[in-house]
Amino acid sequence: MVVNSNRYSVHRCLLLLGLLSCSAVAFAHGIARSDQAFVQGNTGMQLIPFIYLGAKHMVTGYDHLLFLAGVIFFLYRLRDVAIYVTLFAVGHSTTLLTGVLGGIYADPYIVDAIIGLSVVYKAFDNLDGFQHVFGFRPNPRAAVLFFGFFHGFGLSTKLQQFAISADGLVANMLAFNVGVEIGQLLALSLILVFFNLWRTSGNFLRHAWHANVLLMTAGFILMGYQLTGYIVS
Amino acid sequence: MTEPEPTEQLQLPTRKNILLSTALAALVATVILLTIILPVEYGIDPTGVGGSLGLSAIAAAKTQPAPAQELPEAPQATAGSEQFAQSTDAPFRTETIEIPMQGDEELEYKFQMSKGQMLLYTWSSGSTEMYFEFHAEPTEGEYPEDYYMSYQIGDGSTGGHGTLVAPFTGNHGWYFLNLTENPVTIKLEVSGYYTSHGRL
Repeated sequence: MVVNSNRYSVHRCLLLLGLLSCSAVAFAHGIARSDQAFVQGNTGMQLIPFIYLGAKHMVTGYDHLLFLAGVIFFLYRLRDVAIYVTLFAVGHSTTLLTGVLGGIYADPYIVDAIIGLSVVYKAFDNLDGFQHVFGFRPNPRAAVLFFGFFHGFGLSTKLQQFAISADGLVANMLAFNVGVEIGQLLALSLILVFFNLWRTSGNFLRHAWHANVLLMTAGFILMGYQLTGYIVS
Repeated sequence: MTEPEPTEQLQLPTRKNILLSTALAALVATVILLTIILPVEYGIDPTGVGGSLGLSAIAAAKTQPAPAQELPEAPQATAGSEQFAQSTDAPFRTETIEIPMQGDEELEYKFQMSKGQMLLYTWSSGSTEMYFEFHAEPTEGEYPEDYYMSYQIGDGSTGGHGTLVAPFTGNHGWYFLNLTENPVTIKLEVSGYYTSHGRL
């Protein structure tokens, strides 16, 4: 019997992340309230509903979408898009699965603030800020994978906030993950259609700078919003 | 495979412009946060702009109970009513438990409960500040190793009351940590359906 289970989770969190404060408090942008009832009331394997919830979470998760838009901003080749999106998927799936299975609770406000930071980071990278301000550019693929871990942590933490039945936990969680990827592909298709229209309009390069400054602003707003939530909660 | 090369596309990627743009983004974000988002989301209105725009009312409304929405369908007595009413084999138990603790000591006090059973509780540590986590570990079913569910965490608490419906069969209860150097006796009053209880 675990004498101090709280400490267990703290250790695990510290091992994994080092900087996250670990507790289960109110969530920031989570699964819609009406869907919570389903997740909590559900027992046993419910693959399709969990796929739907995962997809819905991704399609309506503006923080994930902003990051994705930043990542593919300057990717013209479909092959590059595929590589980066795959890296992002590998990153967030890893922490979604290990987070839920390991019962790792990370403060949702801190995770969401880091997700906001990922948007700022990518926008700054798109402005070529790393090369010009710091003199070197961190590997953009490694960065996508790295921030993918935090996006997955956000998913895992939100999924865990609800009393998921242990009956069928692994299958339901995998279904949720599949849903997340489906939602990501759906959202990505729309973003790509929009970007292609934008690029062929001839205004893309003229707008690119301002678009990334706006993206960075949105990232800063997400960070401030979540950090304030952390302080006042 | 070449990396995407933003430099060619951007118009003015100079160090100065990048820093100016970043500062501008941070500034605009700060202004939007202070005047709109914090007043709406948290009722924090340092500039007074949120109040004068009527935005703080949204935050105020959040703390009020939501207006009743459509009435739930009347439950059918024929099917599903067991989720509202259930019978148990044994009568409910009521106990007042005293848990003595030394300064800085930590312990767990748990109640063995079956899935769906209920517990009403009140605990108090007088004026001694405690850290607690109300949580549970399952003893049946397929759970990952070391799985536990956290219900509630309190830091600097001196008591609490509430109810619990066990989400799974297992040991449900509190981890307590005495945050002071003084010994304390926690008084825990419970009523409900549990089979056994004790310190772990």
